Amino acid sequence: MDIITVKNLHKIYKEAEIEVHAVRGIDLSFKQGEFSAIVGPSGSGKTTFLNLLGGLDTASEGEILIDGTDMEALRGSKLIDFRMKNIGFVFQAYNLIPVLTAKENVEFIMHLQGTSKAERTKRSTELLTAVGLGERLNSRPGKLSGGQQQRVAVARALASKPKFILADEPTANLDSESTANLLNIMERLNKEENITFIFSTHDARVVKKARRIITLEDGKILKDEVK
Amino acid sequence: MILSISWKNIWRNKIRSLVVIVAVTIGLYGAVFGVALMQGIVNQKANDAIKNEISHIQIHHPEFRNNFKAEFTIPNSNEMLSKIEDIPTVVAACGRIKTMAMAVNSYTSVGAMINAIDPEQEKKVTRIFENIVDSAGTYFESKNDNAILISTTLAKHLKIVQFKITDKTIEKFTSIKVPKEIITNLATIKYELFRKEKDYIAKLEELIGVENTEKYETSLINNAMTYKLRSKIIFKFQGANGEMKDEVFKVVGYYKTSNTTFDRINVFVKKDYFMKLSGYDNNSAHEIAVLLENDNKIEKLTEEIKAINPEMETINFFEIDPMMEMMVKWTQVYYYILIVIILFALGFGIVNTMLMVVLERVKELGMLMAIGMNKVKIFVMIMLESIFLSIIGGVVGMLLGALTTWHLGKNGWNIAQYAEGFEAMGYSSVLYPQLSFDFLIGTTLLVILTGIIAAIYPARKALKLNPADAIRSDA
Repeated sequence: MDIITVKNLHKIYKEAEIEVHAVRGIDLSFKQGEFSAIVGPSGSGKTTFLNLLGGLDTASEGEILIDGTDMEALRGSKLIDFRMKNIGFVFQAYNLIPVLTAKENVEFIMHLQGTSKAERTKRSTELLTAVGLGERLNSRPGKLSGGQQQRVAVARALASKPKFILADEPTANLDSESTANLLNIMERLNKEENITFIFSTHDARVVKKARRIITLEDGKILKDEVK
Repeated sequence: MILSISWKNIWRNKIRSLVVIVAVTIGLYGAVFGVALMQGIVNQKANDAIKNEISHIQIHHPEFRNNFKAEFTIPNSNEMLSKIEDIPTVVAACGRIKTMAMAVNSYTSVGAMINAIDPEQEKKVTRIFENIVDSAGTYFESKNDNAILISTTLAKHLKIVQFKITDKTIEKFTSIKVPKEIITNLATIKYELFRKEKDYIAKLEELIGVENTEKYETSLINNAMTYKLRSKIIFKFQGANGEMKDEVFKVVGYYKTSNTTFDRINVFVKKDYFMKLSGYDNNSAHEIAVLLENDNKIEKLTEEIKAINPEMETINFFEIDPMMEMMVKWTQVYYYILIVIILFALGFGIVNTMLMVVLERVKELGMLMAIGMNKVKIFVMIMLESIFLSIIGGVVGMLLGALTTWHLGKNGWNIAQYAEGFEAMGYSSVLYPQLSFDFLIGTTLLVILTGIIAAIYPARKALKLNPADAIRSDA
């Protein structure tokens, strides 16, 4: 069953009075449990496409249906609420809240969702244990390595029980060991808990693990391969 | 959780937050202490006026205050007095005969107001008895019927002062930093009595030179001044039936209040003797002064007393002294104007800091928006940070201001070097700052309001961020 359907998606930016056509008519769909990578050279439209999928940006034309809901029809607090309940994000620069501990960072999104304190504590501990950080629950981001911070970010993305996780260059700042470790965790979560992951990446190690590779060039799909 | 994040966020850049907090602390300390000082001065002035001069409520014949004519007395004043004293919140009341007079002695003549009082009853209402200057007589301890109390100010006008440098004078000169060599020279005429000011000045000029005498003249005169007891003064005044009287009174004491204008005009004599002299009957008074436990229900009590004899004019402290009423009310407004100006200036500092906070955290704010933190929560988070910054400084500043006020309010702040100027305006030179709890609550609310207002612009900047752009930014 498709959880994401993209139809004739376009995005045009205006930069210094010059129009930049970043996404040019993409038609695509993702099924529950996919482990997909969007690849392509710089400027190919990967990040723009991911932002559109995540509702962080609005399309110039076309539609994105998430489980039947038209994202382009949502605005303001409805869009924020939809994002919070349905989409998990993992960013290149981890983007954790530096004043909170690993556990509090994971709990924060559940707090926004109105989850009870007991449930928050239970789930955040489970998730951090699942990503191998059961011993670092009370460490602040500044005391964790890059790889550990990104694992906290994965746990945070999972905390809201989203329909899928969008990861924008999640391994770009990590060394080989951390990358391998992180990818293994995400692959395990995908296989064992059927969580859908969509990556935008340049990293060959991510591409190697992905089971579907979508190549973009000049805002269009060049190739869509399933291994 | 947002409260906790905001609190932790302000300590991310400790130095910057502390700079803002210290600025708010200093601003609020200055404002609170300045207000306490002003409040203390105004309250002291009002209290002095009530306790030394006016009392809380006065009753007169409706025409009396217009021209002070002898005939405008309060009929059956003794009966009225006892009815007033039966009112539970009345501390005491006293009746006075008041007559405008000309005081004449061998040197000069000046206008004065004779207050004929029952010394014991007056003690219960005003504090003139506490204001008798050291070594300058007593409060009607003399058995003489023609005893009179005059002020040191009037004594100077009547030139019935003399000059003598004593150990106390030397101590005073030392405390006001008169140079040592001048004091040594002055000590050579210790205990020598000068009956005339010009003789004393001539001696000073001889001892310390004309220049130094002119430089320190005020202190050299005021601190060596002593007052002649048993000096005779003739008073010319109108009797009860309009006839002119010339009577001699002997000075038995000199008083000094903080209001030189009051001191300049008022003299006190024994009522029984004066009534006999002037032909008043025992049941008459020009003025009844009433002292209350406090001024909380002054309006209601004024009406209650007025009802005893509605034909008489019954007025309270504020009506007698409208300047004071204006001052008390205006200072309340002034306090808040001062606080608002200081908070307005500090508000700009907070706006600047919060703008830096927002600009430094663009990426983080983008992430928070992306994961589902709505605009209201982001606004609240930034606003709480701004409120924390202002309220920490505000509370510390107010606490320090309140502590200083408490200390000085208990012990007094003696500004002796400005005593003359202060007393000329009717203020005491020992200041007792005061703060009201209401003012502290009002100021706390204003500090919180400053925090909220200062957060609006930076928070709006944050809310305008596009999450996708913000996440990609370098900040």
